[in-house]
Amino acid sequence: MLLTLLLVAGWPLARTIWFSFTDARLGRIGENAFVGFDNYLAYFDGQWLGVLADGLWWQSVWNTVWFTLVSVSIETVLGMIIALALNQVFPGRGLFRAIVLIPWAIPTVISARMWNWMLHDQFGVVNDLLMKLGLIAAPIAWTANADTAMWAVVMVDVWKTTPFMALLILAGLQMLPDDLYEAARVDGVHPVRVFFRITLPLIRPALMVAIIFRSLDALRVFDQVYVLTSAASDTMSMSVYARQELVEFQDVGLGSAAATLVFLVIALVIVVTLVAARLRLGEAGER
Amino acid sequence: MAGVRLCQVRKHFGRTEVIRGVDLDIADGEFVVFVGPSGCGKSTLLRLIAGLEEVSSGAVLIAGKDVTEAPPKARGIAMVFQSYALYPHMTVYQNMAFGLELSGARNAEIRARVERGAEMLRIGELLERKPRELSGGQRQRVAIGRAIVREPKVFLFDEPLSNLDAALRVQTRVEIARLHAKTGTTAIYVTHDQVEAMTLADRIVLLNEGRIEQVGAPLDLYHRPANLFVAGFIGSPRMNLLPATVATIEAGRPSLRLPGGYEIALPAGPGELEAGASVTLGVRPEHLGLTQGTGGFGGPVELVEELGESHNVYVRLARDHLMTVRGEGAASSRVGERVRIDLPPGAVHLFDAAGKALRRAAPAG
Amino acid sequence: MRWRRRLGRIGFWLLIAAITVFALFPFYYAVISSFRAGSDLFTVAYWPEAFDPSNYAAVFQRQPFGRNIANSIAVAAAVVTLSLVLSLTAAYSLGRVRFRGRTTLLFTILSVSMFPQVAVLSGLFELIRVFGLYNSLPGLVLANLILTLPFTVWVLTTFMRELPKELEEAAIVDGAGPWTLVWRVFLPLMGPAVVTTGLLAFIVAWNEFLFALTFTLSDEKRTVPVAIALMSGASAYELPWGNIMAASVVVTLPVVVLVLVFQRRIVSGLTAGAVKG
Repeated sequence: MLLTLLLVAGWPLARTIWFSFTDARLGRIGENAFVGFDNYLAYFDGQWLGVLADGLWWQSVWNTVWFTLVSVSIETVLGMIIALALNQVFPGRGLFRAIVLIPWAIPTVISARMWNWMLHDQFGVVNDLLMKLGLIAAPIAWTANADTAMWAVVMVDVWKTTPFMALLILAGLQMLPDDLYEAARVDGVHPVRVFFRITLPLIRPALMVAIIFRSLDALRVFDQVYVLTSAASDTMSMSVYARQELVEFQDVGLGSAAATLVFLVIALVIVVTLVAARLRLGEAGER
Repeated sequence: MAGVRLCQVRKHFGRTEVIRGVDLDIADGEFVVFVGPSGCGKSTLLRLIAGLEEVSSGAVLIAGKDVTEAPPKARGIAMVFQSYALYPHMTVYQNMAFGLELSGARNAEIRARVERGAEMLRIGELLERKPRELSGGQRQRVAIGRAIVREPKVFLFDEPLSNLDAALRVQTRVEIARLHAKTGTTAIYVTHDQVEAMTLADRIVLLNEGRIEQVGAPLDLYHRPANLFVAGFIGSPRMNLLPATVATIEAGRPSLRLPGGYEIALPAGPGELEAGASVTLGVRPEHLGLTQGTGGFGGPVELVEELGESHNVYVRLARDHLMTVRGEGAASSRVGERVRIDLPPGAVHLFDAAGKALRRAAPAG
Repeated sequence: MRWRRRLGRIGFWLLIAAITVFALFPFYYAVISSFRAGSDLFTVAYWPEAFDPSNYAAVFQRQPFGRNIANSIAVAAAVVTLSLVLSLTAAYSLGRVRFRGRTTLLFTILSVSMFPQVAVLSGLFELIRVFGLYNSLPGLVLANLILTLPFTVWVLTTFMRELPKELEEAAIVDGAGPWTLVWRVFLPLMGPAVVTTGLLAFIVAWNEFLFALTFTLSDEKRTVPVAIALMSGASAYELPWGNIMAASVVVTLPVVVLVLVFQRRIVSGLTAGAVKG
């Protein structure tokens, strides 16, 4: 049973890695020849070829990393604020929690479309609002403009996944014992101080888990980018790059090489995290 | 109805040996209590009898039949768990009927037995409730009821009272004793509470580090502890234990030197004592008396605890020896006062250097 | 002191209001837009002034959108059923049976759920071709299972572990075999957890885009997210925004209802999956 499970997930991955060493094309995926590391890097006719020699790949790596750092940071801060609010007892808390959850449950593609429309350069509500408030003088072509396109992608991601972040942080907050806060109140510690000196250190493990989860998720971003800006190089993520090579350009070998690299990057992050977690577990003894 | 017999039972989890060769014979209808400090293996031993753990070596016999390899349901046992372990999604009736139903009993038979059990435990009006709608005491009764309706050969109780508050604990303890008297079924009961052990048991099995330290009737363990461990475990407050050396033996009457240089003469001592031997002197706080005044065996009062019906006085003997003296009613000594301790020689227990009790010539108190 | 506290209260409610607006506005705006047809769309409106259902009619007429919805439902239902059956069995062995390397195995499963989808794309593509499942719903079900199984197993295992061991032992003493144990004792107790996990699997399958985009070809086989993403007008610059918003609302509505009804369950499932990690 468990073996099947691992096989189901492991087999396609193994094949992907295998394809990355071949010259397979999408139309004739069965017939392929082994080409070694040529898909990654090859020197041919005085020219460097392969994924690692492609400027667009490095652009997409940079885009993805930038996207991950910026969106996860914003989500962490916003998520923390929402989690702190949700941790209070107030009438309508259940409803509020449900409202916060809605963006998370909406399919990414659809939220991307909604934002696409709101960010429309001529008829979008965002431009209209900003102009009415006098913040901008002329409409901005958010998704088409190289400077703002990435921010649009970040915006959609923040809107969609902040709830998830907030819930994970909230779970951490709710595990803190109440008497800790009561003790702090008796000691007359200022609430802001309580947050930075007591709450934050104590929920750090939960926070780290949430940040890592989100980062791994962000590193494989595809849907938003594909829908918002399709294959524009300003916003192209690693996943979009790999799929483009694979499906649009029919180059399974090159695409698989890129996909394998994405996998390696994420696997590396996972391994580092696990090792760090293990070390910390080891210090704390069993559990 | 059946006895239980353990032959050289051993159990290890990985490298650690938890039960180190236990031999025990439990007679039909007997109420036996396993008691000991946490980690002594008492719960494991019970689970070995239940069949929830497999023995590493040795044999378990129930009603003369070897059940070492048998699954729990084939052993004719019923078990009451510490956390009650009631099925949360079933009503009280369904909880009690579940085992019978699985054994294929007919509905009328099940109903009759459940109702009889419910009546015995006075939970008849709770039958249609779910466990979460019950109080802790009621849950405990249902858990016992579930065991009773199975009409087992042996009842197993795993610390059944430790989740109850003090008042309810006493009440349920009485209830369990009453039930045992009524059904006469063999019962094995695990607890870390010596009061439960003393009050419920026909015989107490005192375990320590996977071995039996002593088996006997409650008063046997109280009056004739086999070794230092038993002496220290049974009785509250704890028995006073003092290191001593045998000063002289005159006509079979040893004289002991105690910390602080006091000497006491015992009326008659065990034959195997020799002058110069180191022994441990034990005496229970309730066998000691106090008189005011200085000189002799005694010292300053360090702490007085009033319990209402009795009191404990702590007397500093020498630098690192504190004697507990228990008396009836209110204490007449005050903190700081110097007192003399009356040590009746007949109440003294002696243990050799290895901790083994030395047989006394005269029985105590 | 009192005015400061009152100020704090007002600030708190302002914060709640701001978050609510931020969370709901895009959906609200989509609803408004979906009821505005033709040139109405080209002026910005903040309040629901028009009520013109023609966008909705158009969505269902101009393309097999009803078919797409049916596809999405079929795929999601199959994925939910299969992942629940498979992961319940797996969770029993992972959560209840002790064996060497169990923790490692659990962490491996968790790691699998963090795999980038694109990394299995070409391998899966070949597999689906070999089985003749390209451009078919079973192919999508297979692909989605890779996504859902790791986390359904993880979440159910976490729940399974929380069940007290004594309950299992009580049932064993009562004479229950493994089958009775799972069906009469564990399953009723796991009920809420199963619902939660099923919901999460449903949301994942309902939202999945990359596989559905890659492994389907024809309009009739597409699921809703792909259909919406590929909706286009006469030219690339003339997107039928009214239709897109109408379609989005149709698809989002069931999800919103699910969230409102089951928010407590969803929260417990999401956090159960993560906190222990």
